[in-house]
Amino acid sequence: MNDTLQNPNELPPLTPAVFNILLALADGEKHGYGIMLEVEANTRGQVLMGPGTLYGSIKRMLQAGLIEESDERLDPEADDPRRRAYYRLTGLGRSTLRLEAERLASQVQLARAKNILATDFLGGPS
Amino acid sequence: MMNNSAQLPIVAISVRVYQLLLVAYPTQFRQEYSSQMMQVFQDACLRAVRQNGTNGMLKLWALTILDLIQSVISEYMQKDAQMKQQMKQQMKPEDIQRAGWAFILGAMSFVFGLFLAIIEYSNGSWSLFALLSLVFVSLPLLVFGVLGLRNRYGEKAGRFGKNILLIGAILGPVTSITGFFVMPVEPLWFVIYAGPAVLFLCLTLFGVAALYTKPMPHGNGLPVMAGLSYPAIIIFYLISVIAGDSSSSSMPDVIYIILTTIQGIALLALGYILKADVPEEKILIA
Repeated sequence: MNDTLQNPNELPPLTPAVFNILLALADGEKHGYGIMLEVEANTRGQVLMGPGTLYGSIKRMLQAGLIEESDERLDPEADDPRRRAYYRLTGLGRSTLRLEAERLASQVQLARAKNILATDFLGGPS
Repeated sequence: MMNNSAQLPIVAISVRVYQLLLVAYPTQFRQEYSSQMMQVFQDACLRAVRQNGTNGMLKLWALTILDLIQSVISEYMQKDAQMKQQMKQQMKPEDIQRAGWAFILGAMSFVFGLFLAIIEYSNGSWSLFALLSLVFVSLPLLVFGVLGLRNRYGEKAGRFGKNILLIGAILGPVTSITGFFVMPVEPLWFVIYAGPAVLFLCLTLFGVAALYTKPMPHGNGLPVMAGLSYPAIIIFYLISVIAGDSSSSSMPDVIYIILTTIQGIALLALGYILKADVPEEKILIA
């Protein structure tokens, strides 16, 4: 199936689930439960992802070429033989994550310029 | 695979119930991900029990049921959207591109065959090469091209435009095949040549619809130009036969050549547009 997108600019703004999964995989490959824990930790428990949302998003991200299944274990200690699949970012996934993070950062800057955010939020004005 | 769950009955029962609930998902999704989802759910159960006991399990189940409802609806909507997309566009982008090439090659073969037929007919003879080129080479290519045109622009052209192209793609070859069998019958020998005329007539009618709906990025007048000449030639010939004047003197050859050239150029341009204006496949990350 040739559904892979080649240009991250072609993507619409990512859903919170997709963005959080990409962010969870930014520092290395993880299995499904590892992604779920990482998302929960990254969002301080504000995003609780169930298995349905997690694997529905993973399916679409695989189709779009943002992530891929990983056969190799970069960190053998992190390997869990019970897990059937580990996932990692592709080049496209990393570019897409960076673009989305930049988009969100510009939104935060705009909110700060309109005095919606406190000046010391996220390190204060640039 | 799920040995740990046996150590805690509440986890084992929960995983079993969750496994039953997974039936709600579309089959393909379930086949691909159900074992991983059960594994994740089991891990979440063990963590919830260890951290918060029964209350943790109740909270997990509440979240899981909400997640299940939401994701089942989402998966069926995705599946439905994919099916609608497939129904709308049965040809892949590369096939539409090939259809554009078929139009171009079909146009070349058609113009060559028609020029040959005009020259031979003026000399009072008949050319097998002209017949082969007009009917057996160009017609299948042009039918493929017309089907590509229908797939690419049929929806935008409206129901009439879309259906008339399908009618042409079916009736054109059927007419020529019928003509092949009735060829030995003297008054009906030309029916084999009428197949392309039927196809082009339908292309012209699509073109009329396209003038109003403008389905193509540019050159919406091309289908009329690409389709009109040959049916006009055939109809003119039939009228001449009925009127008892079947000689070519009733229309100068130069008129035939001009009409054929215009039609050939329009067909080539149509093929080029179809080849160049290929839709992109996109996935919605929702």
